[in-house]
Amino acid sequence: MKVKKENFFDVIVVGAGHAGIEACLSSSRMGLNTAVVTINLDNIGQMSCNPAIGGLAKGHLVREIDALGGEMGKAIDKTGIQFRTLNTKKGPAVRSSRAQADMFLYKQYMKAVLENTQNLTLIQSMADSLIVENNKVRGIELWTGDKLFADAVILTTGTFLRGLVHIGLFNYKAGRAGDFASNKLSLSLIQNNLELGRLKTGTTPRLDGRTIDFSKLEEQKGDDDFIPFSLSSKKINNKISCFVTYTNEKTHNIIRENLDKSPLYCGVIKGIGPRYCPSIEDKVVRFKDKERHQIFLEKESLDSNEYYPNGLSTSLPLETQLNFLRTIEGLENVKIMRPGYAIEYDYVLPTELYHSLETRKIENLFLAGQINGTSGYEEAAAQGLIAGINASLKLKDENPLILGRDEAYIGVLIDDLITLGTAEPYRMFTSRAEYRLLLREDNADFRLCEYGRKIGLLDDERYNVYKKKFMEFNEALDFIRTSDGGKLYNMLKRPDVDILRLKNLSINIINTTDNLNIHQNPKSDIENNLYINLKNYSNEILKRAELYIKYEGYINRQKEEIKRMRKFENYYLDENIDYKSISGLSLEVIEKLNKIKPATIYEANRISGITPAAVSILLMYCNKKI
Amino acid sequence: MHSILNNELDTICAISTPEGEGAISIIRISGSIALEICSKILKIKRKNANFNTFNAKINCNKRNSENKIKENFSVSDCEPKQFYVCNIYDYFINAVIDEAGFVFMKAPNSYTGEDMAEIYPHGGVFNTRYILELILKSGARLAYNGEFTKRAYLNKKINLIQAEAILDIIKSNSVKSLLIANNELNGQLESKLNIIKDNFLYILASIEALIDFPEEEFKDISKMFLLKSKELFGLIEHLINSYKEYMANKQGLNVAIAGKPNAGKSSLLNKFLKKQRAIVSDIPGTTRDYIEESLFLFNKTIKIIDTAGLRISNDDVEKAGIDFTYEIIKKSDIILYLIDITLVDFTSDVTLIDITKKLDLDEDDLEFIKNRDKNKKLIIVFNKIDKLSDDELKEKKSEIIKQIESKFGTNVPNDNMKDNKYINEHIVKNTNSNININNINENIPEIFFISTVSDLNIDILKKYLYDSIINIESSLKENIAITTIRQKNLLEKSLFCLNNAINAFNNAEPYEIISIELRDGINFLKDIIGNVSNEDILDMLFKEFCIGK
Repeated sequence: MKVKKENFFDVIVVGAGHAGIEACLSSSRMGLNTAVVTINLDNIGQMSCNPAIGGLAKGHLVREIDALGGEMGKAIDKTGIQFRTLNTKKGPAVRSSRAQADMFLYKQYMKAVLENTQNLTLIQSMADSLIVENNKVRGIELWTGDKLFADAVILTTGTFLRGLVHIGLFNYKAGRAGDFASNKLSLSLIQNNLELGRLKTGTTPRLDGRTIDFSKLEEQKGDDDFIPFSLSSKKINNKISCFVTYTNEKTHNIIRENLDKSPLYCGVIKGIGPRYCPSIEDKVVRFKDKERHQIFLEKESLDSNEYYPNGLSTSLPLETQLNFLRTIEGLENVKIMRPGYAIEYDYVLPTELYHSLETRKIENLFLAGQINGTSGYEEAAAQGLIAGINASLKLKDENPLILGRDEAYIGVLIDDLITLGTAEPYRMFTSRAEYRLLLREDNADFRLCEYGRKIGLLDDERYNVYKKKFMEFNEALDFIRTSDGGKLYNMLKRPDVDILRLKNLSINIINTTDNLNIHQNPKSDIENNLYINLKNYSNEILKRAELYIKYEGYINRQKEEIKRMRKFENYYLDENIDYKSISGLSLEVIEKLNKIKPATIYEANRISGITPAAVSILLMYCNKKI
Repeated sequence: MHSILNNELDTICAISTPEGEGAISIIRISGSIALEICSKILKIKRKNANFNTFNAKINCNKRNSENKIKENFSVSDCEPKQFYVCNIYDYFINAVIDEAGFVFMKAPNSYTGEDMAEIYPHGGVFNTRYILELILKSGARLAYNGEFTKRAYLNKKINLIQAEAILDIIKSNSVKSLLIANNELNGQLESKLNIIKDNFLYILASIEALIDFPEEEFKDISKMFLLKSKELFGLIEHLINSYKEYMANKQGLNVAIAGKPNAGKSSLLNKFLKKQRAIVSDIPGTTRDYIEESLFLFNKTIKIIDTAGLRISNDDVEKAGIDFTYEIIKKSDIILYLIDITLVDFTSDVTLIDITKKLDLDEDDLEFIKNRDKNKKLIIVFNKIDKLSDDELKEKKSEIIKQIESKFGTNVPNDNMKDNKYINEHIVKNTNSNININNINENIPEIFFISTVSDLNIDILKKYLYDSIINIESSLKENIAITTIRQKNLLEKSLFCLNNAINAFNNAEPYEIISIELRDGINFLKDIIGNVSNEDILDMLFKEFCIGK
């Protein structure tokens, strides 16, 4: 078959959401001729739900994406309108960044980046089927019948695969409210023997800001000392506040009275929704005793009056939505601009994938984002980035980039999906990471920049910032460790000692003759001189050093554990083992192992209900085979 | 002193085949005196060179001249790893009791790495136990669960992983799955383990909720954390203690024979043992020290303790003996309190009142008694009924019952008790030996009328004692979750982590640190409650805490 050169690419990315953006940017930036196909070029990087990036564990993902050379961090730093650090009162290892985006600016920014990237072609169309020859992907066929050919295809279809929107008992086919659904691609995936499942997610109604009475509501401001997501960003600007209100008994009563009109409770919706982001009707039914639920009112854009009432995802009929909204303080006269809705969509069971995100059954076909059963822009972007990188590495005949669970949340995310699969939209939580103290937001650059650089994705600007920080950090750490026989070092080990307080107080001492209480003990001149040297280092670096010192014991313990666990990664369990044939395993264990088919002992060890004794038996089995 | 080290040096034995009828049983003996014990109880008949299957024993009747052995061939002449056919000989009664196969393995070429013997008797329940009893009497002790494998591990015959795996196979992988598989008796235990797992998950989930959902409103979460962690602490501690109890009971329940001097305590012991173990005489206070004997009652090993008579004495040695008797009584599971029926006088038998006082009211021991109360059984035995005529006996009996009613009736505050038959009398004749233990009021002592001289009702007492033992053991079992020292250690480590977590919480340390301690704590329990995955934690989190910003 003769193919016009114009229709031939190295990589085709289907979809231009958060996964698609990172996928097409990474492959084109890695030098591959890439096409991105989207149903609507005006909705590149659309925030279909919450107009925000980051949050617990998600902020970690954004910084990891940035350290590997992705775009998301830069985009939100530029287009964010409120930035906050979460968990400041809890431990430093679980601090996380969150930003409200101006969703229109964000889209514009992303479209501009894509349009100005070399090797990248933007196409508005819909993919109807895959072209597969000998279990290897060759390209896609568009709904117009035109064909595009490529050595690798990355599908990032979001909620578009046979998307079905529900508002009350009314439903219609759509990829999201306002966009076409992709109705044929699922069939093509099934024809290629990929196993599909169906999930559900939902979003809140959007409210007209002019009809909200903010005067009664609690205001939530941004943090000005926020450290930007991207290594390349100098600073961020807080431009708006968010507001907090609460549901009440009246709200709950209206919801309860109208459950018969809820597609969720009538059995109309078959897909499985996320437990961590339940609809308001779910919350009211499941937590009867809770008197109120918190609602955050978040502005979607500087140039728009639309507000996103975070915490009110619902698929009740429009009339009911309005009725319960108007029971809420500040929303007594509210008008709905867009109704909340639920959406059902197809996903591919992620156990169909390798850790590289390539499908096991079709060579060079990669999947990323909600099509793998995840939820969230950051989770999608992380996978898009990895799929783009690994598709490129594959075409370059290089080994894939597979991050360990001890190296990145991205590693945890992908490993969880591939090993355990998921039955609900998968969201990242810090509790999913075994080595939470190692995988911090603040050290994402130290963990991943060298990888980003090695694969050729991390630009000079970001790499140099990382290098500088890395040097400063080591200097600061050395200084603290060696100064005054380690006195400062030992002091910083205490949980109540704050390095920035020491730094600030020592600066003050120079200016006053007062003997200020830096610590319980009166300060000697030597100590004052010691602390004054802290001013040579930036707050960010000092905080990092302090954190490292405070948690050193635990961190070393986790590192030891990783070393031990890594050993088990070398014990491979064949996919064809019938665990029934291994004597000594209990029925419960056999059932689980046969279902999940772990690739290594390391993976088996993470499965719920597997006993150490069962692991011992598997080890003996492996030894025997060797 | 019975040190741990001594324990390791004991020669141990066990029936290795499952309980019940089978073609053959296997009794294993391991330790330095294994051969010595065998030479006491085995008479070698011939060598069977063709032994390769168990069937060989059955075929061994075909005499093979090659396998004839010289006269006076003794066990110590046996070649290691050769199969011999032998008679089992009870040297206490000078009689051959069974025919069996026998193999000896010389250290270190055995499973445990010690001298080991295996005896293959016929597979009856009774004869196998009888032989085991014989071995026990000859100097071995009963092995703990998995002790052979443990020795194999200690002697570097197998590594820890193999040891655990082998034990695992025996125990169908985890205590929990064993228990689930086993019987409903253990339902209570299973639910206990589930509560431990759930509580651990709950407190961990509450910490994780605080970390991962900083903008949610969680009401009373710290209160719940402390409440649940305290409850969890108690549960784990209880399991650790149940292990200690279990180990104590492994060696048999303690049955103390107590009573005033010359009530016939030593005679009763001798009746039980079927031999003259204690010196008996008509002189009160003959037994000044206590005598402890292991006794095989049907199929149960018990420790029976003959104590010094309880009376006020000026003799220092005797006084010390009496004090010690109270100690023994406290530690015993069953007390057989003997009274000479010819001398019975409740108003002056202070010792009986004393004993009930000691058991019920001693404040120092209140805690101990609370825990042990249900399991401690008092049986009052009136001895020497042979000395009374039938009429006298009848009269005495009704008087005794009246007296006991008035004494113990007041101890039972429950009004309903009046309607119950709370004197459980097991009378001389026509007594149904199948006493339904469950119908017996636990607060009221049992009464028996016996004679150690004319053997009257001794068998009924024995049967009753046996039933009581079964009953107590099964009630103990409900509390036993862990059966190996390793598991106990894991629980202790887990408890340590939990304690760290609670302290960290109280000291307002970072949540991720508390989480690490809790996760370590759960990890130590993998053996007992199975692996806990992140998904389990999240399941609990979403179940218990309303999330949804």
